[in-house]
Amino acid sequence: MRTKNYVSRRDFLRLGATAAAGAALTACQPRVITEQVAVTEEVVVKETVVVEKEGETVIEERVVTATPPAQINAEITVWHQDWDGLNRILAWATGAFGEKEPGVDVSLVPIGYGDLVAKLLPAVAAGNEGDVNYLYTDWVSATDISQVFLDITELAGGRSALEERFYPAALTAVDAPEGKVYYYPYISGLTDCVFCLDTDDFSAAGADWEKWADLRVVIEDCKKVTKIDESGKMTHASWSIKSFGGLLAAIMWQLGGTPFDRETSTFKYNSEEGIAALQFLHDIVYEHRLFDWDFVTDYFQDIANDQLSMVNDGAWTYSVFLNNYDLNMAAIPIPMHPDATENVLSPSPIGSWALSKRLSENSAGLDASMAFVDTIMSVDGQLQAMDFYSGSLMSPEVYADPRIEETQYGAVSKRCAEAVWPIARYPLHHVANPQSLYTEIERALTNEISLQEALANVDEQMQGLEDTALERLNQ
Amino acid sequence: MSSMTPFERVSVMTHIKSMKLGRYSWLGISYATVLTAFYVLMFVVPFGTAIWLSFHNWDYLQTPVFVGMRNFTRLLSDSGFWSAVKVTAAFSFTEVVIAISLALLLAFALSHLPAISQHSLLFIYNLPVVMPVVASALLWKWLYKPHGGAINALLEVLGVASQPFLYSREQALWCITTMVVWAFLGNTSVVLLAGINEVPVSILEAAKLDGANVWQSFRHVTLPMIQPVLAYQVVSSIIGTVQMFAPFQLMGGPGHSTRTLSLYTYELGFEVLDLGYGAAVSIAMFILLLLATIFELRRRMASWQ
Repeated sequence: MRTKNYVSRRDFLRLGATAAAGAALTACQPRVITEQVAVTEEVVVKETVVVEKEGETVIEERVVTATPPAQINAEITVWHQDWDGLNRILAWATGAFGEKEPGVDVSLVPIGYGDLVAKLLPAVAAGNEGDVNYLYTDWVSATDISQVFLDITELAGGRSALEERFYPAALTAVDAPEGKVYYYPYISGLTDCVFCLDTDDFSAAGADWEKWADLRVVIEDCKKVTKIDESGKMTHASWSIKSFGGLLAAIMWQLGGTPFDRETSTFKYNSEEGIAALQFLHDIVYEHRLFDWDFVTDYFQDIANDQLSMVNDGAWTYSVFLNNYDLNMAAIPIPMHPDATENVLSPSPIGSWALSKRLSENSAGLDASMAFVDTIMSVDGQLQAMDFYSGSLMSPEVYADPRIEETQYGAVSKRCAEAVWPIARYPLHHVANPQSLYTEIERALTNEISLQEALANVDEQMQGLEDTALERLNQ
Repeated sequence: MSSMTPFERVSVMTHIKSMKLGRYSWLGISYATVLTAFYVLMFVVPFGTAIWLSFHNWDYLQTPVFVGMRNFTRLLSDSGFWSAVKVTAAFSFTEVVIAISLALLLAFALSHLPAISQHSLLFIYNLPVVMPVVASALLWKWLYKPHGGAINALLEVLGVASQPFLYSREQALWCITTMVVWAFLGNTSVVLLAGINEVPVSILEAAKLDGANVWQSFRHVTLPMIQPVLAYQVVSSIIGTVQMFAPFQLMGGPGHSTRTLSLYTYELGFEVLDLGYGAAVSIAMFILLLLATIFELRRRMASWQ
């Protein structure tokens, strides 16, 4: 009998087609939902009771059944930014949560920042995002957040309970309908709200940064630190204003103006206050000569190389400097403009946690997800961050805990957060990426175009994006 | 059938088994169908969706709003779009001219070496091609670091002031162009060398007998004879450079100094959440690319026909 012991081309194609069809069918099969119903077994216990029998008081032992707290049984997926710090926090949170809720299987999905930005909303639209998702609030500012994530207002005990638990301003980073809340505010770098400065440079120049009453004093002290050689070339810059978006908005508010009028949904950068605010920044470069665009490149490296003394890029930079360089630094909330009529600062978007809308139909998954977020947001959970991160947390409760002082960056974070959040304000427009603001203002600050032209361009371009977003939202 | 002889029956069965549709076989048609379905699914559907999307205002979640030609008219007055067109054109033109000139010189020089030397050197020149673009971009980003970067260290040795490179609006685009030329030079050289090696030796020898020197035989014999290869390389380089994304995303300079059309499309789609307008920009990019390709092919074809 002849045995076929080779694979012909036809056999190969047939096998290949069968395998491909099998793979396609497997891939197309409906997702198996492994949600398990919470099991609440009754437990038999004996209890001692005092009863009266025929006029006598006797102690009796009787058997009763009791229902213990329900254990959650579910699988949840957590999408988060693949950042070393967050990975460390989540590793801790998963361990702590596992001990508390052994019936919940948590799958962590770390995704790089760029990928997470690009994938999160398409995934939400397709209904396959994580049950718990990490995001920055600006990612959802151009859309209706109520269609993106689950409303957590009532689940978390109501708006007032949330405002007690978090700094109220942190709940206003995104325009949300009817005062509802759709995210747990978690961390913020406080960009444009906090100076990070090399204390050795300022001490050597006889400047006391602890006594900075307003930005005029800051400028005077920075002048003492700046070095310009005989040929007029800068050899040491004092204040890098490479980050300026939030500062510009904050100064406008401080001077009584507003970058964005919420009532009319109109951008108003090109206004008296806008010009004054931009002129203030322009003067830092050209009149006071504290900064030079060509001289300052990578500000971390520039400070490490003793070419720069201060940046206004936020409290988060403090830990980056100390973790990477041998420097003596301080993080100081940015004081107000000398002519400020109101104390306002404009913080950067907030790193937050939000729940999938799918969970509204999956009670076990919802309970598990809420419990997991509670673990991350617990005082113990948030304190984890303070050993390597100096940005702000959002819970006054954490800063009230005496253990904050024992962490590496807790004291700095606390000082900055407590100074910034009570006066923090978000413009609440619907422009997700205000790149045109940065580009046009930088053109003005490099003298490529006039200040007024830059502000007019900002208004025009931002308004176009706002109107496009509103067209979608108000249809 | 019943009246057929066993021989005729076998013959008919054989005919049915190998039944042809005209001059095409069922097997061929089924393979072509699968490939066509794949192409439709992977190209026609997304491309059609992009065209549909370019007439709408959409952010993934809300109902798409039909806006007619607005996204296209907006292109005309959008300074961001025109700035991206300028950056893309400057990058593409410079990269294609420099890369193809260098690759041509390299390929011509290699063509005068023995085969084993050609292979060895091509292997070396192709190493950057094998390297993932992301790795190359990050490597060059490190080389370009203003403080502690290798290039500035070298400049310092030569007594030249250190440069900001990727931190400068003026220098960033050319820094990325240099990296891209380096990354794809080997690949272009291989294609051009293959073309040069195809030039019949007899023609080159005839030119030599007529007194042509190396440059003259290259200018008047080799170059005209590799026109089709050169045309292919120019067109594919234009397409490749206009669509290039990763180096700009990873190494981008300040402001809009290195924002190309691909990057602008990405920003509009994934960061600004204005997918309709992003689709319109990508359609405009496709049309510009198509026009550039047709223009270049016609120009080249006129010269070699």
